[in-house]
Amino acid sequence: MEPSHRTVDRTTRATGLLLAWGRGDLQARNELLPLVYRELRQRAAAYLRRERRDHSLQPTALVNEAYLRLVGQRRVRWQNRAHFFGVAAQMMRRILVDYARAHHAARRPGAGLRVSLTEGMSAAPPMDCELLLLDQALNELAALDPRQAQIVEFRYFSGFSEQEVAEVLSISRSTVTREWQTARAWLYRRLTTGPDRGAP
Amino acid sequence: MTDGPSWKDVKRVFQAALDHESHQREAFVREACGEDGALRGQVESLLVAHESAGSFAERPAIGSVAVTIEGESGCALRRGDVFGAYQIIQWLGAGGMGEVYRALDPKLNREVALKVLPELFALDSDRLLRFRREAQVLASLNHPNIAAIYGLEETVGRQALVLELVDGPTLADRIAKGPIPLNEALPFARQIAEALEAAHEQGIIHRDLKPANIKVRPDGTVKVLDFGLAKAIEPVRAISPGVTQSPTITTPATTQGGLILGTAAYMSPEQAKGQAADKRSDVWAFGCVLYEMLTAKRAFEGEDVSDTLAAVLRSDPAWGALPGNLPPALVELIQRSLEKDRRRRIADVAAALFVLAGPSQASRVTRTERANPVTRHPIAAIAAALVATVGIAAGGWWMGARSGPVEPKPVTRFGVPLRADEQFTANGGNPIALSPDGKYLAYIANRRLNVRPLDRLESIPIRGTESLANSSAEIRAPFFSPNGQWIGFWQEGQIKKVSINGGAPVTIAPAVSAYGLAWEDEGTILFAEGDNILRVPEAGGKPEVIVGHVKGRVQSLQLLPGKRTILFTVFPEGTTNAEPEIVVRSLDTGQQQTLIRGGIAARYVPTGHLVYFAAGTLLAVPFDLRALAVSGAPVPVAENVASSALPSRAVAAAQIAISPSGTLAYVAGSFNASVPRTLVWVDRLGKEESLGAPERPYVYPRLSPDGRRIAVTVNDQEQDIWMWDVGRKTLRRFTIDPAEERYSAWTPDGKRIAFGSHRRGEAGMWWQAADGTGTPERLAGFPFNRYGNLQPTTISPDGSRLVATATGGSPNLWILRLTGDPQPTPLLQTGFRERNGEISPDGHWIAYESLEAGQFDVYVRPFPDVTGGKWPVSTSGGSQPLWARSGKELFFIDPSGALMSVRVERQSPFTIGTPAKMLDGSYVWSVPTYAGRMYDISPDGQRFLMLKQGGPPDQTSAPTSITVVQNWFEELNRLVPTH
Repeated sequence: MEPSHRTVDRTTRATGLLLAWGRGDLQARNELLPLVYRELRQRAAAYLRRERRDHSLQPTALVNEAYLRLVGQRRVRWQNRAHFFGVAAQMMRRILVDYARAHHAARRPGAGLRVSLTEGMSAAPPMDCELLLLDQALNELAALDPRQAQIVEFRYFSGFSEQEVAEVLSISRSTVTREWQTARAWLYRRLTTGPDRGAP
Repeated sequence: MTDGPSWKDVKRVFQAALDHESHQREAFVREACGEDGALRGQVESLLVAHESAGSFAERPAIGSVAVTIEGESGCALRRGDVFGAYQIIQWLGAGGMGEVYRALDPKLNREVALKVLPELFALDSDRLLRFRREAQVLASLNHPNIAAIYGLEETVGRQALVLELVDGPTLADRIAKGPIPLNEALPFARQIAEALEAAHEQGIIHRDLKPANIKVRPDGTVKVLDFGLAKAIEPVRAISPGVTQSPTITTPATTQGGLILGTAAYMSPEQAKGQAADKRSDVWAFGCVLYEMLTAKRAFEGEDVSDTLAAVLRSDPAWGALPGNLPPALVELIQRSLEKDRRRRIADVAAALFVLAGPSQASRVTRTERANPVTRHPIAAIAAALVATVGIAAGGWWMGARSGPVEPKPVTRFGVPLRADEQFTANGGNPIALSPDGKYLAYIANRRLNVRPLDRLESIPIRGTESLANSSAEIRAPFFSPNGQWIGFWQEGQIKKVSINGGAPVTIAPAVSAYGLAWEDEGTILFAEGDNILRVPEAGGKPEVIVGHVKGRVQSLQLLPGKRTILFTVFPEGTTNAEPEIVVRSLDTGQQQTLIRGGIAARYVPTGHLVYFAAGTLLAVPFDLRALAVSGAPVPVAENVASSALPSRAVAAAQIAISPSGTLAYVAGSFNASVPRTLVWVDRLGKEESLGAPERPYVYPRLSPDGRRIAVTVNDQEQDIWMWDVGRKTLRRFTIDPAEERYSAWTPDGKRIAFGSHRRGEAGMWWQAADGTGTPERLAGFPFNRYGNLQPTTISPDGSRLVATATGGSPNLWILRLTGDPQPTPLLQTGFRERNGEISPDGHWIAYESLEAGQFDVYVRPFPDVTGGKWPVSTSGGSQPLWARSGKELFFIDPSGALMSVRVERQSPFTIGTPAKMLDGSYVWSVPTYAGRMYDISPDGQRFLMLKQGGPPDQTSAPTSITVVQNWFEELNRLVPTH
C-alpha cells in the first residue's frame, strides 16, 4: 500500500509545525498536539490488539514509529526531536488513561485517593484503576516536581529506558535514575498511605 | 499544602540516602535532618516506600491496559440492543475481527450475522476508507456457496459487517469427529471449489481458507465464510515494508489482529514468507482442507506457530495417511494443490472442479461464458491430464452429485469500479444508464460521459462531453436511445446526443434545466423542466409541453406501455416536510393519481413490477398496468443504493438503471453530506461578503457574543468543532478528541463553549474555555440507546441555564443548571418533536420548533416556566429560530429555505407582527440529518452569518463503484412474485 496523500500531507505538516515550534511558535505546538495524539492513538490501538497474544510490549517502538511517520528521516535538530518525544509521552499518557477510564468508568477514584498495594500485587502489572490513580497522583507530583513527572511519563507511559530519557532530556543517566527512584517512591507512598501523610 | 519541609530538602536528603548502603541509610538520615523531625519523617516514609515498592510502575502501562482489554468481552451488545438498523438477538462468538452477533434486520425481517469491528479498528480513517471499498467489492460476491456480505452498517463511529447468517457446524467441527467419508467429502470439496472459482473470477482471493471458515448446513450445503476479509481488515502497510514482509517465520505470528494465528496450518509457503497472496494461495489452502477432510489430520502441523510454518515451508504431508481407496486423480489433485513452488501448483481452482465434478459435469464448466479454460489457463496441461485420468477412473469413484435443474439464466452480480482518479458527477440527476440490451453501461464521472461495454474491462470516455469545473450546467442524466446506438444527456442548457461509437455530440433541443429524460421508441424524447413535462422529436425541434403545472418539480419520467400513461416522481414545491410522490397520469384525460408516497425514481419493468427508491433501498411492488395500481407490500430488492440531490433538495434522483432486457445497475453507496461550504456575511439587503474562511463542510456556525470569533462544526470524517477568528482570518481546531463533536453554544460572557460530544461512548455534552486552554469538562450525557446526540443550543443570558436538544429518539428539549450539579431535566416533551430552543435575550422567553401541527413550526413560550402559554410564530412551516440581540426581532427559516424576520411588538401579552422574507433560500439551510440552526446574526443585528455552497463534494467517502446484476428479473420474480 503506497502512502496516501493524506499521510504525506500530514508528515509535511507535522514537520513544519515541529520546526515552527522550535523557532518559538507556541501555537505550532498546540497544532501539533492533535496530530501526534491521533497518530499515537491509532498505533496504540493496533498494538493493543496485537499484544493481546504477545506480551513483549514496546511502547517506545510505538512512539518511535509515530515519529518516523510524522516527521520521517528529515533533518530536524535534536532539540526538535526532544520536543516531539516530550509531546508524544504526554499524549501516550492521555491515551492510556483514556483507555483505562473507558474500561473502568465505574471505578473512577474519588477524593480519597488511596489504594492498598499488597506485596504480591505490586509485582503484578497495576490494574486499570490503579493506572487512573497513578495518573491523578502524577498530577500532584507535577505540581511539586515537573521534571520528575515528565520522567514518569517517559518511563511508565511511554516505556523509555533510563538511557533514552537521559538523551531526550539532555541530563545524565544517573540523574534520571535518582529522579525516577524518587518519583516512584513518592507515588507509591501517595497511593498506599493517602494524601495526609504524603505531603509533600 | 501545609507548611513543612520543602520538597527540595526532602529530595536532596532522600537521594543522598539512596547513595548509601541500605543499612547505613537510617543513620545518615538522622544526621542529615538534625533537629528537623518533619523533614526526617518525610524522608523516612519515602525510604520505606522505596524499599517496599517492588516493581511498582516498572512495567510500562500499556501492558496493563492490554491485559484489561483482553479481559473485556468486547463491546458486549446484549439482546435487544440496537446497532444501526439491526436488533441484536444473541452473541455468537468473538474473533480477531471482532464480535459476531445474531441480529434481526427489521426492514427485511431476516436474521443476519453482524460482525462488529473492534472500536480500536474504527479509529483509523485511512484503513476504514479502504475497508469500506473492500466491503463494497465483497458485497458484490453472490454465490450459493459463499456466505454473502450484505453490506456495511455504521453507527456512531462503529462499523459492522452485515453477513449472511449460516446455521450449522463448521467443517472443523465435522473433522473433529473423524475423517469424512469420500462420498460426503467430495460434494463438500466441490462446493468449496465452486465458491473459490466464483470469487477468483471476480479477482477476489479468500486468503484465509480453513475448515473453521467453512460451514456445513444440515442439508449438506457448504458456505464459505469471511471471503477476502483478511485483506480488507489488514492494516495499511507499515512504514518499513521490510518489517511486515520480512521472510522470517515469526512475522506472521505478530500480524495484525492475530488473524494469522490458528491459520498458520493452512497458510501457503508464499504467505508464510510474507509474499502477497494470489489465487494459487487459495488453491494451497483448498488442498490442505481436502487433505484434512479425508484424513482428519492437518496436512502441516507443528507444536507452535513457528513449527507449523516450518512444516509448511519444508515438509511434505504424510501422503500415506490418505485413505487407500482414493482415485488417483484425486490424490494427484491434492498433491498438485500442495506444491510449495506456486509456479508448479495448480494455478486455477477450475482444474479442481474438473476432477471433483466428474466427467458428466466437465461440460458444465466449459459451457459457461468463459471461452475455453483448456487453452486459456496455463494449467491446461495439468487439467487435460487430470481429465484424462478422471475419464478412466470416473465410473469407480465419482459419487458427488450436482443435482437440481439447470437454471436457464444465472443471476450474476459484479462491480464496475471507477478508476482511482474518477468520481461520479451526479449534479442532482442520475449519473448512470444501461443500453436496452443491457450490454452497455453509461455513466458520468469527472464531469464527462463514459461508456463501459460490459464484456470489457475498460471504460471509454466519450470525447466532447466534458463540462467545465464548477459549472452549474454540468453534464447530467444520461439516457439511451431505444436502439442502443445513441446516448442522450443534458448539458449547458441543451439536450444532446452522442453516438456510442464516438463522434461529436449533437444538440437536440434547448432546455434550461432538464430532468428525468427518457427516449421513447417512437422517436421522441420526454423530459421535465420545473413543473412541466415536455416532448421533443429526437431529430431536434421545439419542445412541446404535454403536461403542465404538476404542482411540484418533476423527475424520472417513463411512458408506460400503451403510450397513454406517464409515470413520474413529483417533488412538492416549497414545503420541507411534504414527501415526494410517485404518480401516474393519463395523457388522454389528464387524470393523475398517486401510487406511492415517500418514494422516487420509479420504473415499470416488464415483469409486472414497479421498482422504486426510498431511503437508500430499492423496492419492488407488483403493479397492475391496466388498473394502474400497486398490489401487496413493497419488498426491498437492493440495499445501499446511492442517490443524489441538488443542494436545494428541490429534486433528487436514485442512481439506478434497469434495462428492459433484465439487467440492473446501481451506484453502491450513500449520499454524501460532506459538501464544502464557505462562511459569508449577508446584510439585510442581501449584499454578500465572504469571510475568507477555507471551504469545508461547515454546519452550525455560532458567533461569539463579541462577534469576533465563530465556533463552527466541520462535518467531515472527524466531526470536530473549529474556531474561525474573524479578524485574524485563522481557522483552528477547537476540539481535538477523536470522538465526534458537533454543535456549540457560547456562554454569554464569551468565555466558554458548550458542545455536544460522543467521547466516553455516550451522547454527551461538555464545555471548555473558548480560548482552548484547560481541559474539557463533562456537563451531561445520555446512553446511546436513549438518544443519539445531546446538542446544546442556548444558554440563558445570566449564564445559569443551558437548553439542549436531545435527538435520535424523538427530539425534545432538556434544561440543565450550569451552576452546581448539572443534572439535565426535561424542559419540554410534548410527544411531538421539539428542537432548536433559543432563549430570548431578556431570558423570559424561549423560541423553538415543533412538529405538533404536522410540520415544523416555530413557537414561543415563557421561560423558564414553559407552561404559561404558547404563541405560534410561523404558521406555514418554520424552523431554526433565533432572536436578534435586541430581543425585538425573531428570525426563522421558512420551508423554501428563506430567512424570515418577525417583529416582536409586545412582550405582555406576547405579540408579534407578520413574518417577512429577509433573505431568499440561496444559502445552505439544511443538510440531510443535520437539523440544527445553520446561520447566526451579528451582535448589532445588521448582518447574517450564512453558509454558502462551495465547490464539488469531498470525495473521500463518495461512492466508487457501480453494481451490475445481470438477469436480475429472475431474482425479482423470485423475491416479489406477481401472481
